[in-house]
Amino acid sequence: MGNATHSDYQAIAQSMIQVMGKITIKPDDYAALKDGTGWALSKVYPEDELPDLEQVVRHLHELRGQITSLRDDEYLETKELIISKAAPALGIGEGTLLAQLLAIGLDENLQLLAEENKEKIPGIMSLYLTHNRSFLTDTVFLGFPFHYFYSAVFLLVFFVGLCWIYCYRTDKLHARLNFLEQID
Amino acid sequence: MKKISIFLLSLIPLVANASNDVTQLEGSFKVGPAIILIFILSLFILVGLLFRAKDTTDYYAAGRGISRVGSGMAIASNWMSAASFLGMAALMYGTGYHGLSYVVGWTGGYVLLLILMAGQIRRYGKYTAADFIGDRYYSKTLRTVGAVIAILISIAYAVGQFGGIGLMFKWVMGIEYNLAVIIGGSVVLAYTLISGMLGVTKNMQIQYVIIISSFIIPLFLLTYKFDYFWLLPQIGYGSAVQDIVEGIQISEKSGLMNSLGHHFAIVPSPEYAMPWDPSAGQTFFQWMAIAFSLMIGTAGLPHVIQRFYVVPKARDARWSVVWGLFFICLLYWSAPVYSALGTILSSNPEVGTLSPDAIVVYTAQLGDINPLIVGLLAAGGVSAAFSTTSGLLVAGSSAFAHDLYVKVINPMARPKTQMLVARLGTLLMAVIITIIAMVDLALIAQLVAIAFSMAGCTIFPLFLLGIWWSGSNRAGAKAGLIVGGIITLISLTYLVGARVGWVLPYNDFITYYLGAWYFAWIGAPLAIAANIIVSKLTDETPLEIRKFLIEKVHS
Repeated sequence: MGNATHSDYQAIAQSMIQVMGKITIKPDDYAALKDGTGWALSKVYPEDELPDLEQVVRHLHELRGQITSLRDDEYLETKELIISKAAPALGIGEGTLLAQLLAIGLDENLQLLAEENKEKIPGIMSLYLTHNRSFLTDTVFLGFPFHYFYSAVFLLVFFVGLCWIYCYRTDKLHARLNFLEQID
Repeated sequence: MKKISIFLLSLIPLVANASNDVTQLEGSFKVGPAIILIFILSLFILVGLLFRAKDTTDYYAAGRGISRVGSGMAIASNWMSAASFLGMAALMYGTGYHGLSYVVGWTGGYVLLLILMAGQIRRYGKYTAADFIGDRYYSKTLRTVGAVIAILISIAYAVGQFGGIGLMFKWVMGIEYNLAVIIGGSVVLAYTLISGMLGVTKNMQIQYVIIISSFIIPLFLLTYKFDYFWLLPQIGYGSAVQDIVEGIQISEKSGLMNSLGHHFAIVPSPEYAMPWDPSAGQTFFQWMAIAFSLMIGTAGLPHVIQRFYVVPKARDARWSVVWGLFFICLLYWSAPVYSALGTILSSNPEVGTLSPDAIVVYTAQLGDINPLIVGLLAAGGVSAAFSTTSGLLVAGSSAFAHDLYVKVINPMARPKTQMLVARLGTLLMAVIITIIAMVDLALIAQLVAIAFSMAGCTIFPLFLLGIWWSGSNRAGAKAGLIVGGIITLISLTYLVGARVGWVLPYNDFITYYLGAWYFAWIGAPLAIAANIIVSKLTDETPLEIRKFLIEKVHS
């Protein structure tokens, strides 16, 4: 990261926030990315204003432990304050989903990146951003990714159809052979 | 009648106030859902009493008199448990495609069941799995072992059901999970014993209609509310899956938010729909092994196979599978809708970690559906678990009283003693199941999958070879059972070991290749191979059995 530019830090921070928003993210991985995002932000944020931002982040964390509703006014205002300060520095639009994820995805100590997390982050990014995509997954059918439709909808229709055909053909065969079943 | 009316009227304010209770995902006692739950369970008993069979003949005649469609509904009702109602959506919540292996396995198993078993079992003419095994393999020992395995499978299957009942009681009553399991377990035990004492006949068609309605109605509301094609949610949710893959920006769906005030938005998450995605933690092998194990497990589950003994003809047995599978598929087409919408609605990290097994109910809650409809959904889940559990407890205790106590321990037992033993068996099973459910070993559907793998390793090979190969003999059956039993034991030892912190040799290798939800992928073929090899090396099957198979089962 020695030669990284301002836009490089913005890009890596945005990527990490994207991954932090994934539903499959594991708590340890989320914590590591949180650490990394704060560090990347500290590289592009005015140094003299960092303590203020850290203070607001700390306040948000304190509020999180006290509030009974996520719609608490002070909590929401504090989140908006963080967004208004940090999102522009990372090139993130204030009304976007990434801005919302950023507000809750910062550590209190922005400048510090734990050595352990520094080593883990490339592996985490690779894990969550590598997918088995092909034309079967990219083709959209009835709104579904095709292969998802195939497994979730079509196969079930196919199984019912297969059973129906089996019973129908067996009945026909029995009729042709004059096979009568006994009822006991 | 007047008293009943006054009582019902007095409930109206309670039900109306219930709307205010469900403002949080967990927490306080929810009056509305509790009343709906009591109402549905009472309805099941009431309907059962109204249509009560007069005697044993009537009982079987009633079972044999229903139409193919009705028989299909009965199969579906018997099948639909907490694992289907709550567990399917849980498996797909967050990890999407990964959970489809269970859908494919549990439905594909019916094709095997139809082609390999249904008609042949009906023609064989035995009434329980233990009866069949004892008769076909001319062995009292195997009969006893068959009965014990049937009981163990019932227990493994019921553990998942108790887990589901516990989760829903926790949600309705706002109490701790362990306490909820004990209360839920006691209620289901009382329900089973009261139903038994009153001679309630299970009206499975009505149960099916109530359970499936409670599951599907919220889907229309959710898809309508969140701008998806609501007339057929089972297809309409395809766009929701695609939205998860591509992501939804806040601006695209402005005004749509969950009940906690979070925007209806999600970052692009292709892992939800991609096959064997690394972040889902499941490989191609595991996906296939789960699907295969569940398929053969379905064709080997005693309480599923037994449905075919009570239809009039083999032809009816076949057609009842077709309709049964169709009615089951109605639920399996619908469950992924909850997972997809639940994934979007809970995507904000602020929502925190939700219990996947309750995601069906949470999705409806996050979607801000009327609390009474959410209550109906929860009640449907409990009803599904109740009907299956009471069936399993009855089947397990009958195996205990009839197949073990009367046939092996005390053949001279009087009917009164038999009844007492059956009730004690029910109680004993309920206690064992409650204790295991409190350990909270895994997701509901995964716990149930253990029962399927057990059945796949033990009962399935005995039925498959017993019906289709007259050369399979007593010694072969014993060898197959031993091999299947050993594989089962190894897998379950590692599962429990991981839970209690034992460091067992080759842990990674065994837990990967003999995972508790799919060990039948290798256990069943090995059991079949052992059965064939030993049968070939030992005395032939007696002539009368070979003759019976040709003349009665396959002609």
